[in-house]
Amino acid sequence: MTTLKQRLDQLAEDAPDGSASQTPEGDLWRRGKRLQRRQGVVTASFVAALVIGIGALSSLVMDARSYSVPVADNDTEVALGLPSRLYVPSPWTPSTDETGPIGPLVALVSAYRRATTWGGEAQAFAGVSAAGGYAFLTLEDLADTEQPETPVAPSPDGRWLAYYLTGATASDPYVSEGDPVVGVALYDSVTGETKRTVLETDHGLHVDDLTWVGDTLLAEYGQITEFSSTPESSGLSADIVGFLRWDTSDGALEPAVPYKVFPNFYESSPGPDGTLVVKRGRCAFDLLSADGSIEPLSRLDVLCEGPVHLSPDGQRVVTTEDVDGAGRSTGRPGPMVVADVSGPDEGVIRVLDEKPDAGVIGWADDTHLIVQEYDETDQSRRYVSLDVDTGERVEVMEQPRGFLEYPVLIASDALTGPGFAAPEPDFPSNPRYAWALGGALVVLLGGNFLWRHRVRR
Amino acid sequence: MSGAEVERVGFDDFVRARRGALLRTAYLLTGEHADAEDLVQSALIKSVPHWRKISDNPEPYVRRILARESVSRWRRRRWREVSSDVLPEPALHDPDVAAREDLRRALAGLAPRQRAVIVLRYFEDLSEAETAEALHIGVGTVKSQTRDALRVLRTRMPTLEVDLLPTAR
Repeated sequence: MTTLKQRLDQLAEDAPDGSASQTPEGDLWRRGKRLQRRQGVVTASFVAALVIGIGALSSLVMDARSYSVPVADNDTEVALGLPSRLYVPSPWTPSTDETGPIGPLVALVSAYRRATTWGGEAQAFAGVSAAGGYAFLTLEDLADTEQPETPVAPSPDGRWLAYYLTGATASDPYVSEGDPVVGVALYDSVTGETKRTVLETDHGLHVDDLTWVGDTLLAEYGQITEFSSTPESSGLSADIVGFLRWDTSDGALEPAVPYKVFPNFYESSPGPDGTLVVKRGRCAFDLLSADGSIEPLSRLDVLCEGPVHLSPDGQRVVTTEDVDGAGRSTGRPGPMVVADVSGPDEGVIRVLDEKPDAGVIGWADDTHLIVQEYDETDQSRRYVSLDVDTGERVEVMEQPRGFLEYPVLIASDALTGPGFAAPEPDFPSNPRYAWALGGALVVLLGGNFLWRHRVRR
Repeated sequence: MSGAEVERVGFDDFVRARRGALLRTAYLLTGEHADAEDLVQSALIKSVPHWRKISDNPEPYVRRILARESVSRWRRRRWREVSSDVLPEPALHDPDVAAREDLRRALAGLAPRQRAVIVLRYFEDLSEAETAEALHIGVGTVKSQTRDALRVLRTRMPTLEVDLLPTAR
C-alpha cells in the first residue's frame, strides 16, 4: 500500500520535461516585461483618474462650501452706489436662508434658480449687495402674478423690498393672471425678517405697481367682486378700495387710505427729500408727499411720455417727448428733453438726444443723468452718465443679457452714490456633478478592490 | 553588465534550473501536459514584474502564482469545457501506470481548489497556514477543502493510504 504522497510523486514523474516547449529562450522575460509595462500604464491611469477625480470632487465641494457674499460694513447706514457691472447669478447661488441677510440692496435681478438638487428651474429674484455680492432672496409667499408689471419694489435706500403676498381667499380665488394676491410684505434686507399684512378678500385683490414715496410704501388695490375665466370670455370687476400706506420709518400701517387722497401716479419718479414727482395732463408735474399733500411745480410746453425726472436741486427736469400725439403710441421713444424749472430760462426746452434708444433712469447729481442704452450687437444694456450741460457720456454700469423677464430694479439712492468696481461673484456648480463624481470614484475604487480581490484568489 | 541584464540572466538561470520541478507541480494541478506547460509559462511571465524584489528566493512566489492561476484559470475556462461522467479506459496494463492513471482521474474529479490544496499539502509539503497563504484563502477553508478532497479520493481509490501531516509549521 502506498501513501498519497508517494502516489503524487509517482504521478509527477509523468509531467512534461519542458523540452517540447515552443517558447524560445528569453521570450518569457520579454513577455514579462511587456506585461509589466501594461500594468504600469493601467496603474498610472488608475492613479491619475483617482487624483483627478478626488481633486475635482474637492474643488466642487470646497466651491460650494466657500461661497460668500460680499456685504458692505455698517449695513444700516451704508452709502449705495452702482457696481461697474451686473452679473447673471448661477442657478445654484445660495439663498439668504443659507447666507444670512446681505444688507441693503443696490439692485434686484431676476434669474433662474434651482432650489433643490433634483428640482426644476424656477424664476427667482436675487439681491445685489452694496458690496456687489449676490444671493437669492427668500421671499415667502411671493405672488407670481401678471397683474402689476413687477410684483416687487426696492425702497430708495435699498433696505426694504416690498412684494405682493399670495395666500388663501375666503371664496374661489381669481387665478387667471397668476396667484391670487391677498396682501403686502416687506422684506428687511438688513435683519432678514419679513413683515406681512394680509387683507381679507373673497377672490383676491386687484393691484397695481408698488410705489415708494421716500420711506413710505403705497400699494393701490381693489377687491375683486366678480370674474369669469372661461375659454370664451375672461375678465373681472373690482371695487376700488384705495391705498395701503406703510411707513417703514415708524412702522405705521394704514390698510385702506381712500383713493382720492392720492393722485394718479402711474408715471412717476423719485423726487427730492422723500417725495414723488407725479405727472398730470400734457406735461405738468407736481411733488407728492407720503401724506398725500401736493406741491404744484411747473409744466412744460410739450407733450411728454413717461415720467418726469426732477434734479436733486429741483432746478431742472428731464423727460421724453411724445411724438405720436396724445392718446396714441407707436412705442417709439421721442427726443429726450431737458428744461429749467426756475430762473430766467424757465420752460425753455432743450433736446438732449433726438433718438434715444433707451430711457432715463434718474439723476446722479444736479448735472448728470443716468440713462440706460441698449446695445443690439450683444443685447446688453449699458448705464451711462450723461452730462446735460456738455453732452459727455461715461459708462457707469454694464448689464449683460441673460436676466429673465422682470426688469432690473435699482434702488434709487444708488444712482447718486459713488460707483464701485464690481467683484465677480462666485459661480457655484451643479451639485449633481459632485454627486456623480463621488459615485464614479466609489465605483472606481470598488471595481479596483473587486478586481484585485479576484486576481489574488 | 547592467542591472537589467543581471536580472534577466538570473531569471533565465532560474527557469532553466526549476522549470522541471514547476512542471511537475503544474501537471498535478492540471492533469494535462499542455495545460501544465501553459500554467508554468504564465506563472513565470507574471513573476517578471516583481523579479527585482523576489530574485533572492523566487520559487515560493512563483509557486504561489502557479497555485492561484490553476484555480482562476479553471474558473475562466470551465464555460467552454464539456464534462463527461465516463472517462476513457487506459490502454496500458502496467500496474504502476494503472495506479498513476487512477490517481490522475481521481484528481481530475476534484474541484480545482480541492486539487490545489491536495497538491500543496501532500506534494509540496506546505503546512495549512502556508497553503492558505498560497491560495489566498482561510486556514479553515484549507481544512474543509482537504477533508472533502480526501473523502472523494478515498471513495475513488479505496486502497489509498493518507499520510499524517503536520497542521502547522
